[in-house]
Amino acid sequence: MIRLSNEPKLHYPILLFITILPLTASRPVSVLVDAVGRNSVWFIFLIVLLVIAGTWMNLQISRRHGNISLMLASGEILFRWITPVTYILYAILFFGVASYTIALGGDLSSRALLFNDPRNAILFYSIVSACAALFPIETLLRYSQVVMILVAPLFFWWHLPCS
Amino acid sequence: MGNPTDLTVHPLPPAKGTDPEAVLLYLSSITDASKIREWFLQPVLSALVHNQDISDVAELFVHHGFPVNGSTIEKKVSAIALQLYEGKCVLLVNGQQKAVAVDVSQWHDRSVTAPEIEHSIIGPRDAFVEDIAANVSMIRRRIRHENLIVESFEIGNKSRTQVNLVYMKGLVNHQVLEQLQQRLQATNLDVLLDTTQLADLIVNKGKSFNPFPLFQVTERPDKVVASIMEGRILLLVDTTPTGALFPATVTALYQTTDDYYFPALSGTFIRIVRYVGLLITLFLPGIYVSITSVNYDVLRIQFMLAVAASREGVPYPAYIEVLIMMTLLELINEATVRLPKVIGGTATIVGGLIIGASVAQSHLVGNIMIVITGAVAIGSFTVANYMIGVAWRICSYALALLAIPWGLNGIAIGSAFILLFLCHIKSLGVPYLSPLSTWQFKDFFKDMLFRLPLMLHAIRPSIYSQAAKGTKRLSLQEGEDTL
Repeated sequence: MIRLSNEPKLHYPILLFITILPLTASRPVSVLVDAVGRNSVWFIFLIVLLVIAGTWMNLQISRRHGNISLMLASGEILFRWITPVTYILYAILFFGVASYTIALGGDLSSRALLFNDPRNAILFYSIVSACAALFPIETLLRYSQVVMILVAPLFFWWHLPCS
Repeated sequence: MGNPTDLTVHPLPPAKGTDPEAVLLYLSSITDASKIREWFLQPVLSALVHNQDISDVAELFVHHGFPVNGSTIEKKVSAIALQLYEGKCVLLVNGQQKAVAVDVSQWHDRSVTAPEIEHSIIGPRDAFVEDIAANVSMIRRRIRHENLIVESFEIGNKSRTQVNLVYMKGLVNHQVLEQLQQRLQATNLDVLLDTTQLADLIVNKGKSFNPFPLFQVTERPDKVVASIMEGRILLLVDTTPTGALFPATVTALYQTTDDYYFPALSGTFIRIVRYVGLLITLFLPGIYVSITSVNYDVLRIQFMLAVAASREGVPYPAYIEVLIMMTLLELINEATVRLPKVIGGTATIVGGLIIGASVAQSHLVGNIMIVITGAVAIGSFTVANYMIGVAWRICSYALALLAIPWGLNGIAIGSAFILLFLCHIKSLGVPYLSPLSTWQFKDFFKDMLFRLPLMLHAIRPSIYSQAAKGTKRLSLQEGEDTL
């Protein structure tokens, strides 16, 4: 699990990008529209803005404080207690983003795994994602990568019109 | 020294009421009597037979070609004791300020035999033995090059066991090497018994509950040589017939020597069979629990009817059935490992056939569960490394437990965390799931999922060492370029 003092270099925006983009992109626009309204398709542009802003912030932090995370840097710049607070904020953000993407990603659990209740699936997987967020970012990046290689093809295959 | 019973004291020449000129000390249990006789006793005896002057023992030994592997030591009990416990004999000569220690050790080693843990169908038949010098010689015989480095350490305050690090200069991962050297120097053990004990202290610092082995135990010199040539490092411990390779990845633990001695397609096929075995071991018990307890409608109705028919008369839920059979499987497995080979087969037959058939007939478990248990057992035995096989079985239990309340969702959640954990752990800085998690595309396809022909992976992988990246292990002839 995470050790604040030993945390390796972080790329939170990339994590968000990896988490959100494949799932949202995997859904047809019509599903997005049905799920969260017609304007929701513009969400993807917000994500891109977020990624750009996050990358810029990361670069600024790297330039001033070396290879440390946003959380650790905020603790160094402001107060020490800011670090755990930002970690909690990050977990909440991750939880919210995970919930939203799982909701957008459709009822994978209810259809593929026959859980029958999308709300439970969203809740379960959001909690799991939030727990996963406690691992260092390097682990999550590697995990995202392995999932993209092993699981994403199955996910797309499941959602092919012919399957 | 506590007056050990095997301490032999030879006065030289044999005293006849006068003080001896010299005294020869050795521990008879760990020394070679023939060497002592030839180097020390024979000259004295010969001189006595020929009525020569034997008052000057030192000159007598020099005249007869004193063994050149001797070293001078202080005439102190502690210094002499240290030499005696290493199998040396110590010669104390009157008038000399220093004593002489000569190596006459004879440790009771066995001869080189065929591998007992890592069987192969073809390939070399020699395996490591307890003698570290013999093990190093097996490697040197295969790599006769100046870049093969053997570093020596001494671990254990009381055992003073010799430990060697073997690697190829120019190919080795220097970060891994430095970590190994530092941790070996920092290790403060009492007695070192086995390679795994030291390897665990190195990679886990002795305080991890991680079931996955972060080092690769091997007894095959050919595997060691292939690994060293990819930039990995071998840890050899005296008195242990196995070495530990660093860093270790899941890929490495699933590679066997047969993969490379067979044609590429056959090697790939065998490797895929092994991965299928892993999937069966890991998921089958959990899936059975899921489809019989939670997700009834996931499979075709005909199959579910067959499952229901096989469970007819079984008085408890499917997960109890799974737990019973898996526990029986573990018991049979453990009994087979622990029992002598003579009756090990009997245990397998009794456990596998008689108990298996009987529990099905008495409706303690369903017939399909017997099939699943057999498949899980065989799947777990296909793994090339026993340690990771045990780790997978532990994960399999965890998945089956998660499947009890949550069915396939539980398996998905559990699998996600197993995968996350595998992505998290590293073997001395090298990600455990590389090249999959590090996405070293070429290495992933060349030698992880498949085993491509040697011509197609003439370049060494960069999984273990960046220094080995891009170096060739096979040079093509002019005009022989394949791709």
